[in-house]
Amino acid sequence: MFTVDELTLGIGIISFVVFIFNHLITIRWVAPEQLLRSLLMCIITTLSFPAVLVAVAFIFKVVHVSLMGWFCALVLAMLIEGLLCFFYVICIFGPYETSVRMRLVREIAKGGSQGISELELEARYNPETLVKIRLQRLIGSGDITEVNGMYKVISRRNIFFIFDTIGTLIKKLIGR
Amino acid sequence: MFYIVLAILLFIASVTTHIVYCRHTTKKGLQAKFFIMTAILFWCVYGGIVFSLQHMGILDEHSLWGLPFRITAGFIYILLIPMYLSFYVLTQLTSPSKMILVAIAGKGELTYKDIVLAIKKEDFIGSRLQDLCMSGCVRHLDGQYILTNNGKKIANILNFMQLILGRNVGG
Repeated sequence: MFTVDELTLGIGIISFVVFIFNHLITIRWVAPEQLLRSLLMCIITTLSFPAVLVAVAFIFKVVHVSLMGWFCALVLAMLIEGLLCFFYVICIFGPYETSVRMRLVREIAKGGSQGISELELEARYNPETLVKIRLQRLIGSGDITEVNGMYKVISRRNIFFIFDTIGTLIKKLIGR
Repeated sequence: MFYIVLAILLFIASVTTHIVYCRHTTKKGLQAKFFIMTAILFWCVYGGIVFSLQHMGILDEHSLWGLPFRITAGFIYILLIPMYLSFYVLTQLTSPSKMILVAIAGKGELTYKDIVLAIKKEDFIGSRLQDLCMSGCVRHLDGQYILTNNGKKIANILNFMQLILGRNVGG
């Protein structure tokens, strides 16, 4: 028999595994410009999964706790899944997909043991390539728009500005 | 909910300790290692308190306050560590995407050429290449960039990820 603690943790982790499967299946066919939106949709969809699992556990009375206990288990399982998704996106998928350093490592790796010259590296990856990839992603995620060759920010309530606000707050607190 | 509140309070304590340390230290650069050590220390404190309470039997497990989310709270605490670290690292780094957004938002609207100019000014590629050389992942020899053993390991991990994710290189 499980305890409510083990059940909550288990549901949170299982839901995250479902997210990973969902993500691995869908990400293969997602165009770069739809990447952020697809990832967000994937997270939102699987965040409902803990509710399904908690409901099943509640119906079959897997553990004996009060109704408030079941509600807390649901909220905490969703929190665990959300935090695991955050960890995956920021620490694993993000660097793979968007890191300049990782892209450079891969370009240099193509040169094998001989390496790659500065000119060759610049031809393969340069500021223009970097801007093109990012503009594509930012337009796809609905953060910016392009009208007659002019780029505009649609809303300042996007993930980058939210992160920036939190980062600025921490910067102020640490005084650097 | 006692365990959740306790874990969150101890996490706030570890963040506060880190902030106080950062304000007073003369060391330059990121103080991530100090935060990780502090967070682990406070996590051990959490473990100690949980262990003691379990043996004392003070909390009523059937009340809302005493709901036994001991492992869950400890796990949430661990997950909060990389979350804080990612925000903390952001204070020292500027991502190209953020730079583009800030540049556009600052002027109201920008052309593609202006955006490229703004990115060129920041020298994202050159500075990252320098970082890779300094961290020992890449060697710069006679105008050629060559991966070191550490760099090759990273490249292998990235190749493996490409196999799993089925996506081409980003950047």
